[in-house]
Amino acid sequence: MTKQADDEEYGVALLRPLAGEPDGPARIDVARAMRDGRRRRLSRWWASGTAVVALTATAAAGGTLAFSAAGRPAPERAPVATTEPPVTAAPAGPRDCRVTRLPTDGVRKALVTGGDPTGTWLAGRTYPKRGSMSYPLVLWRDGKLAASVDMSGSDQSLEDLNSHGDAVGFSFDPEIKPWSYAEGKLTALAGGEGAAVALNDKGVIVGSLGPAYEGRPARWSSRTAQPESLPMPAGMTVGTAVDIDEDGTVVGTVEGKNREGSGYLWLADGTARKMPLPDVDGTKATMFWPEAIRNGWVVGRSVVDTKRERSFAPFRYRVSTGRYERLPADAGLPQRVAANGWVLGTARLPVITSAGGVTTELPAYPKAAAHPDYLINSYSDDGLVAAGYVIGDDIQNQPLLWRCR
Amino acid sequence: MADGSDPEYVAYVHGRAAALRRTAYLLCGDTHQADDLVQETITKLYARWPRIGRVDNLDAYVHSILVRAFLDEKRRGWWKVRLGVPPERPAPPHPGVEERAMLRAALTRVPPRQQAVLVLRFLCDQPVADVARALGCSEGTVKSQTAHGLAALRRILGNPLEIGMAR
Repeated sequence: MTKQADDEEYGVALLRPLAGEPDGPARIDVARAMRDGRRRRLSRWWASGTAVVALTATAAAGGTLAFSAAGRPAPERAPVATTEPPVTAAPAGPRDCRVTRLPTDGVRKALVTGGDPTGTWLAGRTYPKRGSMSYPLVLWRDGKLAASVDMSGSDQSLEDLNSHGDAVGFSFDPEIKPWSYAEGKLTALAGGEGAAVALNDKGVIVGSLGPAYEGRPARWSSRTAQPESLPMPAGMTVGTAVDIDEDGTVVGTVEGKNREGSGYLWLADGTARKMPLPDVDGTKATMFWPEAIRNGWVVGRSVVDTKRERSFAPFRYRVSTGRYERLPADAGLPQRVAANGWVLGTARLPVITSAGGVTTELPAYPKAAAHPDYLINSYSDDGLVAAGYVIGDDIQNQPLLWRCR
Repeated sequence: MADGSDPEYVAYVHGRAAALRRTAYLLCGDTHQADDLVQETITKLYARWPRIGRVDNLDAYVHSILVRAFLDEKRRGWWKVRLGVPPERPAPPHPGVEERAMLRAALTRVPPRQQAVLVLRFLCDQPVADVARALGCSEGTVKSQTAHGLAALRRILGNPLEIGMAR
């Protein structure tokens, strides 16, 4: 029997217990669908496909890597690998955080998919333009709609921006395809099938080449450059870059055959190394999954697999020392890290972990009352501006911006 | 073929609602969420209904709206399931319930596209070509996603695996 036929039989047998019918009467309301659908047909739209501001202007607020001494984390500490959060420095963290919904010009549903290090630029996806299958992409500048971007394909996304307002992303058309957006213009990156997921202020772009989930880590030295493969260690067949630092250090994952990926670093000096596996309560982690890099800090989560369970723990890693620091349990799962070392994670609410392991929950969006799920994709270098979106039982994707002092 | 009129829309939705709800339920494993997915799907469908005459295969088109709605809601949130909260382990009324709960929990830890591929292929019995169309990807990608998804489930559930294997 072929492997595929084996898989077929195995998959059917494996998932069989989940077969079933929904309970009770349907709560489907055709009249409401028609009412809402009619409103979507009529919904106003801003000029599509045209940038309404020049995207070359450099966002100046504070400078890319400017961060206050007060917000700077305590000096290097020994790695903490216990369940207790490190409590050393005086509490210094965000204050008076407020949440606002980003404007969408009447469109009821939108995501925030990325942002720049100054907290000026955000990118997102709106749903959907009347009568079409497309999800127009938008840029916000200082919390206001600034441009609409017409990317072909489906599931389009702008994943990251730099402080110049340049962005990178991907769409499926039908294969995954990498894009760059700069000076009001969207261009396909060279290399064919692949994804662009991050860029820095020098315009260096990273991501992967090849099919979604099965590509190889890649870097484009500029948006007009040919991609170069980032080297993988022997035996590793699949990988992706996840993020790039201002000095050119790239963090990503590599995986061997039939194994999931774990953290890998391509350093600015051209060398590369596997990220070590942190100890979690006396057990060496199975994997480390990095999410972001900034100013030499990598954040992500450890994965510990046992026979029946998989568990995660939040960590911050310093590239220069090779040391992990376990974040407090209420830090949530790290998503982004600021240049000052503060970590933005998601738990019940978005959470900022600032110097000394002090955690601050960001305020909830008041209109999301029932089981909200916050998904965060942008964090500024001063640790004070975050953006993402919320979904919940009573609310669809709503793009949100948090500002603290 | 649909002509884009309201009576056509109502008739179409009434005729397909049960099947859509079942697929939505298999995708997400929750009746209420399934209803929300179907509601969103038929809302999108109505918004596009005036131009629907141009769609070659309406069922496949609606199906792809449903799968996209599922993916959009799951995207970036899938791995957060149960994090920070110990899994609830109430005493199961009978063994089948625990098995289902464990399988469903395992499935929610697989990336959303792989979840969709596994459910559509193995619970909804859909051919690779239909799944590819619903997801907007190639048949090759569906096959590889199937293999990845099954491998991930094996890892999550532990191997050797006997759950669900009728032996």
